[in-house]
This record gives sequence, structure tokens and C-alpha cells, in this order.
Amino acid sequence: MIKRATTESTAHLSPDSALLRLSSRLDVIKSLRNLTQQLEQRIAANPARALAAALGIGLVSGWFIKRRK
Amino acid sequence: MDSDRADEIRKRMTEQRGALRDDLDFLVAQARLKTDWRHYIRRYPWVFMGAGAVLGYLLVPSARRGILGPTALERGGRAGSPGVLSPSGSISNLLTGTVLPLVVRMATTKLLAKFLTTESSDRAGAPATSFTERPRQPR
Repeated sequence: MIKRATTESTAHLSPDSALLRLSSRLDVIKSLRNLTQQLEQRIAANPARALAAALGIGLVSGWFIKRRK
Repeated sequence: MDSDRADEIRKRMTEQRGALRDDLDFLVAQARLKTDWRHYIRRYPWVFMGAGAVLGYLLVPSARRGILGPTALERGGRAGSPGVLSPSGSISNLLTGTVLPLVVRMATTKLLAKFLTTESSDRAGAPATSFTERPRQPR
């Protein structure tokens, strides 16, 4: 599916442009993966704080969605 | 001949005892790991982060179905009408009214007990002994 989507999205481009676009997408994917890995490391370093942060995010979201007029 | 056989049996018994001790240490370490909640968060970080966020979202009570708020009382509303808590209640009301105080109380008690234990062991000057290092008391 990914292969077909990639082929279709770069079909109208020249080989150099397609390569450039794909490499930029790959950079984005790599940076996202690095970010998630860093977050996982921080969660593993301090699980209690991470859980409290997640709870806080949920509380703030709930407050804004449910209570805010 | 018999002494050789006895030596062989003693040697095998010693080996078995060593293996048994290793197995027991491994079992204790595994049990300690499985009962540690941090282990599960390290193993499934995103599941627990999502669960924490969902729990935080559910803990916020809804604005329309609050607990007998002043607006509802001012309107002279009855139970079951909008703005007044119905007898059955919702999940968020149950969580905020029953579960949350219980969890807070349990967490406070545990933290207090942990803090007091640490304080007393620090004052005594003796490091806390683990399960395996605890000396055997004569009966």
C-alpha cells in the first residue's frame, strides 16, 4: 500500500524531484521516530512523572472540552 | 569403593543445592519485577500514557450534569431534571465521588508509610535489607 501510494504521488515528477521528495519524507519519518524514542526513554526514566503528566493532559483536555463555555 | 560413591553423591548434592539457590534467586527477582508497576510502564509506555490521559478526561465531571449546582437549586429543579444529579449517576460522578477520594487516600497512606519507613531507617543508620538479605531469626 505504501509502495503504491509513493509511486502514485511521485509519478508526475522527474526522477530527481521524486528522489528529493522521498528523501525529505524519510527525514521527517526519522525525526518522528527519534522523538518517540526520546519520549520513551524519558518515560522509562521517570514513570510516575510521565503518568502524572498524562493524567494532567487528560484533566486539562477534559476541562476545556466539558466545562469551558 | 563405597567412599568414592559417597563422595560422588555429596558432590551432586552440593551442585543441586547451588542450582536450587540460583533458581530461587531468579524466582525472587522475577516476582519482584512482575509486581513492580514501573516495569509495565516501561514495557508499554504509550498504552499507559493513553490510559492516563483517558482517565484524566473521565475524571472531569460534565458541566450539564453536575452535583446539585446552585443554578439547579435556584431553578427549583428536581432529581432527574437537567442540571441535577440523577440517583443512578454517571461514570464521571462515580469516579469523582467514590473512586477518586479512595485512590487519593490510598496513595497518601502509602506515601506516608514509605516516607516514615525511610525516615526511621535513616535515623537508625542501618540500610534497609532486602528480602534475600534478611537474616534468619532463630525460633
